[in-house]
Amino acid sequence: MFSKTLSLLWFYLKKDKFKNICWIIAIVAFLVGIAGMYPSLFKTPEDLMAIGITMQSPSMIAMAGPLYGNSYHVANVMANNLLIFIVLMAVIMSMMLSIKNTREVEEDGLLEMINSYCIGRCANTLAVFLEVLIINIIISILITLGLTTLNIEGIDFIGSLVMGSSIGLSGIIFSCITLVISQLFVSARSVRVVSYSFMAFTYLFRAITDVSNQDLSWLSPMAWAIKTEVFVSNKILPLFLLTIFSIIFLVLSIFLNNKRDMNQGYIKIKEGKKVGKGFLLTKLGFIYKLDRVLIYGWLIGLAILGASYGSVFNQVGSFANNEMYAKLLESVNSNNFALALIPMISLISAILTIIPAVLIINHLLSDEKSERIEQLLALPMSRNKLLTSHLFWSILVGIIGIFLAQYCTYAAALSVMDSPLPLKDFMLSALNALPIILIFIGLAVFFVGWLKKYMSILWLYLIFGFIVVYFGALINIPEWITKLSPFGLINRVPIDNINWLVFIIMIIIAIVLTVLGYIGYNKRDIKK
Amino acid sequence: MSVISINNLKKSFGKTNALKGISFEINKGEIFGFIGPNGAGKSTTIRCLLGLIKADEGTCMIEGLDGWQESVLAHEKIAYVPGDVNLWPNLTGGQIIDVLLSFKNKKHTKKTDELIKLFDFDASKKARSYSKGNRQKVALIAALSSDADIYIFDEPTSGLDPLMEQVFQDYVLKLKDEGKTILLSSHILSEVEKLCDQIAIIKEGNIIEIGSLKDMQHLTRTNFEIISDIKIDGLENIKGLHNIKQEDNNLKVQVDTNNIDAFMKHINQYHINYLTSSAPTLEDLFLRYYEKEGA
Ligand SMILES: Nc1ncnc2c1ncn2[C@@H]1O[C@H](COP(=O)(O)OP(=O)(O)O)[C@@H](O)[C@H]1O
Ligand SMILES: [Mg+2]
Repeated sequence: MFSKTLSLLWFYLKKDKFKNICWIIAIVAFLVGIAGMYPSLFKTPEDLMAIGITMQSPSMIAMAGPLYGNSYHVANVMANNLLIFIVLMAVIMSMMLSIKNTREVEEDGLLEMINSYCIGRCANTLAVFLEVLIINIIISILITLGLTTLNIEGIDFIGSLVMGSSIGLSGIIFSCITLVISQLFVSARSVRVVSYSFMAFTYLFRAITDVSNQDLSWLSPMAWAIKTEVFVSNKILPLFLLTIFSIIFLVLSIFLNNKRDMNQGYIKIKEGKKVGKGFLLTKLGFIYKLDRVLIYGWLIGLAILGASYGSVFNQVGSFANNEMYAKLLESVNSNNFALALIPMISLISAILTIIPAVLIINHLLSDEKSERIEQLLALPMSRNKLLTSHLFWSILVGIIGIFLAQYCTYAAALSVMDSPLPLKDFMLSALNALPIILIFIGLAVFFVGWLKKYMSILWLYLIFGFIVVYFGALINIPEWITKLSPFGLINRVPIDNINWLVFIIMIIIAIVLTVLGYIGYNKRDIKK
Repeated sequence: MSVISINNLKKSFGKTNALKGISFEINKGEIFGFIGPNGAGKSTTIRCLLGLIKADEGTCMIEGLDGWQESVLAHEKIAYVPGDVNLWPNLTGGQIIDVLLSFKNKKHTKKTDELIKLFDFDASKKARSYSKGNRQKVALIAALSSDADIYIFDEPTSGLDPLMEQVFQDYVLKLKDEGKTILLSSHILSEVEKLCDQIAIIKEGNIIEIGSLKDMQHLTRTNFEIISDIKIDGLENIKGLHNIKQEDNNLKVQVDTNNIDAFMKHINQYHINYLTSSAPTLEDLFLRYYEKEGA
């Protein structure tokens, strides 16, 4: 059943050598490198206090887990900030490897070839497990040694060992879970989707339970590394759980592997739809169906982002100690810190709304590149109609995105603030940022019409806008430079009023760009 | 009456002169074969006709409608199957077929189901999992069940297995019986030969020959293999013989189609034990044409 496991393991280690070494270096260097910077980043107890308080806010707990310990010192703050992200890296690496060398090689017929060399039925599963095991052990050891040699107060050998092994074991357990999943489904794609969804689910479950009821988060294996309370109480129970469950899942995967045939699985994917019906058969419905995942993904992301901004509104006072924020707030001449945050948030939300809106328009180009669009344009469908169907969803996402993000900020702020800000402030700020989004959509249409090869310029222009927004407030960028981006043109609503003249001019610019784009799109060749 | 007429069509991409003045007409009810090697300009011609790209010079008309300016109206009459079919990966084959039909204001009918069955196509899979042949089937089924007047196929069978190729060819003949007009581009010579009434040969952006297969036979040679009782003499007196290979009573020879009569009369004087002749194919025609050019 397991014969030749070791030769297979050797083969995989050699095959994946480069990739694995990159991962190991990336993970270890990321953790040890950043941890090494902590003493200089947080010199005084006040610095630690500031970050500690920030990390205690619900949105930060949701993101990184609770911060353990009664006082803030470099060790526990560092572990809180970094642990979950390193765990995620190790988990993703282990899962990628486990999918690649199981279902994917099986699907490609490679495994069949390998198996013809008298290799045991379950040898492959075990070999993949051993490969992941070896890499994670190396990572654990390097992290333990790396952190210890940093010689930072509070980061001792035992704590480093617990941190290193919690990371390695997290990688291993998710690899074992993936090995089970890859026995269940026939297509590598299904295995990938189910595995990563499971990972995302465990992370989200941990996020929610860490905020609401931390006892419940024991149910998520993603929480166990954090539950070690590393550098504070160094609990061993989570490491024990990780080990036991890894073994259980490994045995289960081997059991399932042994009972099934090559290229078979246990779960049949439900058949896709044999016919198209209803909304799908309209032009708008068709584009909607193609972009659905993109639309919802970004809208949900925007809602979460908005809510997490809103959830820190009660603490903006404490940010005032922070040099960066102080400078930022100074620049708007307002002593109402919460109010001063709104324009900033609306601009960031606008940037993140522009991305899906432009991506929808960009589908015209990717469909053209893949020649899919030929089939649509050979039908009695004009280019204008095709463009308009994309533009419709782009604008809709643009409008919903910014208002949704601002509404979620408002709703979250409402729940944490003693004297909440009115909804109107948030909505006006969103409305104020809307023309920026429309200009970018117009630009995207213009590029599709005239400069399809240079779409990347539009993204650079957006990044330029981001720099203007983010750093413009902190360092002194000359005003004429900020005014080169639509982000630099608008007023800071609700501190100031909307400048309606600018608003209307920007809308007109957006319309002109769009119309020009339509003209270009009708005149040019549709070709690869 | 010509349903499709292309007149002095020229198109260049940067420095490549893809089309250097293409002209041809397709009459109603005709299967028109458009044949040439890869890169000759077949797809480019079809894309101009469909208004996907704009001709530098010349015109292309579909039932009197300009391919570029009145493309939407023109497209109501046609069904098109591209050479390299790419699909939207997250829709199933069945969904894509119905979407394509509905954008033509057509519905999924019994005929659609019949075609799905005929092509032995699994419509329930996501398009990302389809092979080239299956992707081609999606476009073929959508086109064939859309009941158009004119069908434009750009190398439609390049991904199909021989059995499906046969299904496709049978269906094309059925369309012809229904009086449909068909433009079939191909580099599979046997396919064009079997189906087409008229043939245009394109090479490096020029039409080098146009007409029915019969018209082109002056360019072709018939291959003979003959075994006779005694050696056949006097072949050097007959015109139009090529590649003569003679070993005693055994003769292999290529005869210009125009000179077959003289050749037959000559060998009639001998006692023939065995004779095979293979009809001219477009491959021969091609080879011959290049030979002529080279000379
Ligand atoms: N979009 C394009 N850009 C540049 N050159 C092209 C493009 N499309 C076709 N060509 C060139 O035009 C010529 C004709 O191509 P095509 O019509 O696709 O040939 P065929 O369909 O007969 O194989 C080729 O030399 C090809 O490289
Ligand atoms: Mg082609």
